[in-house]
Amino acid sequence: MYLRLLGQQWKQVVRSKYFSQGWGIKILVGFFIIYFSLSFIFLGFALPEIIREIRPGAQSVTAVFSEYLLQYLLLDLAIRFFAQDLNVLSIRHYLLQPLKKSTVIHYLLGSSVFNFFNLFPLFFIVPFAFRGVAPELGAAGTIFWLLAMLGLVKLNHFLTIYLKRVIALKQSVFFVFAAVVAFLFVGHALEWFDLNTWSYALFAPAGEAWYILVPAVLASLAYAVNFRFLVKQSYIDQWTKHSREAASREFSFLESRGVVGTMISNELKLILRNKRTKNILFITALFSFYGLIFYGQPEYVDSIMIFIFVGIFMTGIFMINYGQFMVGWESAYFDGILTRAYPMEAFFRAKFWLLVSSAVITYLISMGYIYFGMKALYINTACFLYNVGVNSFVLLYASTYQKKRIDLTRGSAFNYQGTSAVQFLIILPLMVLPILIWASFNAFGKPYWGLIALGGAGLLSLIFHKQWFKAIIENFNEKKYRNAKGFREG
Amino acid sequence: MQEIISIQNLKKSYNKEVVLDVPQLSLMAGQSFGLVGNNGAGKTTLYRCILDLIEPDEGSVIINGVPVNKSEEWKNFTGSFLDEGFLIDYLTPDEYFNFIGKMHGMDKPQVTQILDKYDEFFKGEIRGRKKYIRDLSKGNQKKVGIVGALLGNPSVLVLDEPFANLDPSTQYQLRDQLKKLDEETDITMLISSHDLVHVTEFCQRIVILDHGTIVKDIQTTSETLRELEEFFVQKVRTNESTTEATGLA
Repeated sequence: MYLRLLGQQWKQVVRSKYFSQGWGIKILVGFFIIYFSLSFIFLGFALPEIIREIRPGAQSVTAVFSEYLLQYLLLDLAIRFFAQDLNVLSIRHYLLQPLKKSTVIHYLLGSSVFNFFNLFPLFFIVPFAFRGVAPELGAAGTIFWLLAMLGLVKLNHFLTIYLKRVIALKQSVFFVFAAVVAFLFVGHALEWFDLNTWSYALFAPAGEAWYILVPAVLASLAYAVNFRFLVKQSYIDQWTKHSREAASREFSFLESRGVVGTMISNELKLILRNKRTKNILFITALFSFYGLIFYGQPEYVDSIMIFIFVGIFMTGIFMINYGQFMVGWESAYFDGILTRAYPMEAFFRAKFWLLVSSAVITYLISMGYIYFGMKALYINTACFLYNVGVNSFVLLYASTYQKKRIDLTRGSAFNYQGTSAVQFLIILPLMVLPILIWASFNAFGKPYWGLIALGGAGLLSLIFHKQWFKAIIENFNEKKYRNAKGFREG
Repeated sequence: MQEIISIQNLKKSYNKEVVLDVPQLSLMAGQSFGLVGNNGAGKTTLYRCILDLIEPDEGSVIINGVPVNKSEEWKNFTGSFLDEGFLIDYLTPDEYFNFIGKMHGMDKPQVTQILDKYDEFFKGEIRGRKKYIRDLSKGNQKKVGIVGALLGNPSVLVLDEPFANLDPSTQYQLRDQLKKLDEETDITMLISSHDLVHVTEFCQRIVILDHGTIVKDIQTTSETLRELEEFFVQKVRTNESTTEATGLA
């Protein structure tokens, strides 16, 4: 029976629209998987040396490893939480079949274990076990140690899928979870308490035979909790989404500004009321800290080039992330757009103003970097102008090539839906061109003239906005049948 | 009567299979037009060609003298609802109606005035409820779409299967609404339906589409319903007899 279910799930994956995307994406994803696998394996091999380097006096690498294990597990939990998919074999399809409910649920939980997030940790744990643990604990000890680690990976796995399922019903749990994890890390960083001491106390005995029981029992408990939850969820009335009350927020300022204003207000509602677009807001907020990686680093102080890259990204992160799918966001009701008396110029002007306003906000946030010197202001201003004047139009134009439907209800971590070659091609005008403009002045020893040219290019391009809109609308009309067909296919 | 929609030599095929082949069809202003046919007969394809949603391989659709793919003028007086792909599903119905109204140059009070006429049709389940369109039932989504199509006071109305998914009393209500609209205004309605009774009730002209071609084109009389039923029953019979003859039954 389990085999037949496995077969059906395989079909579900292979036949899904999501899977049948272009080869380019598959190769790219495959490349990332191989890259990360190799990195993890290498990390596992090198870990004993790394540990000896950071703790020259340490007696045992296994002991040092156990000091950091708790932090690793917490981080793993957080990453899984965002990136790991729930495997969804819809129980509903099998409820009326002559099948035991528990069989289906055991299958659902059991098969979920085959997941990259359970595989990757093993990639570095196993090599480390051979090179670091084996010399210290011996053969038997290493096997016990490995089994204990395996149990911990499983524990994290079942905790994740339980939390994700609960949060699908009750969002507030997410904030509790996020707060607990954040508190632990912040508390550790501020030395209120020491996670490493706790970690050592918890995991040091790993390697002794009796200790296997600890993660085994915990993982089984997590499994049981999942099982009970799913049994309870298997009644159909539990699924009817408790559709929350619609937000009645009106952007009356915009609504009173004619058709363009109303369209912007609609688009804001689109962003705020859908999961995938809300994720983009979250990413935008995260990326305002992106510059911290580079600013304040002594080795970058004299480089302007890297900061142009950072500046384009920071002042345009929402613009780039959201704008590349500008037409695709509305794929669900594209037929409606085509048959209504949408004034197309207003349609794209609304989108343009949305992108520009977002850039203004991200620009204002980037003002914080003046802390690192006025150079940050000059660079970010030039980048902001370039984003507003050039990149906004590039993104709008590129988005008229979009022909893959985007499901707004899916989250965006590891979500390549809607991605195509266009998204990779636009990196050239978006990122490379501004650096080239600057570099052509810098080559003559005039880096600041380069910045002026960059901002000037943006302003100059704005003058031609009428022509740009015309070109965008022309391309939109030319591609609309093809795009509408693609959007309808889902 | 004046011709409002003219279809010339319209052809569309997918993977070499002809799904639509209409040499000539002209619709008169004010005359309501019913389109019937089994699944896959090409009704939706015809509608999509009329609304410039797909590009025909050959031929053209002309509304009011202008080809639909040349000018977008027709959008100002054509209301349409084919499926949920016309609804902005993250808006509430009220927000949606106001938006559509705005595109037709109406302000909120004007929109409200029109919507008030449909309160009975909505049964209090659409307006003023804090629910997004995506959370409405299929039937209620359909109501939003149909009324949305009527908002701009269109002179051409295109509806695909408006009666499907509606409960029996709403079906009658909708039929009466459309009938009233047909009598009181000179609107041209294009209605497709699987329900032969409904279309014969208020369409003055009925066309049967089969495998992409027009096989019958009748002016509605008291005999029409029987004639339509005859056709579809006959289709099943011929199918049965051919399968029997070839021994595939």
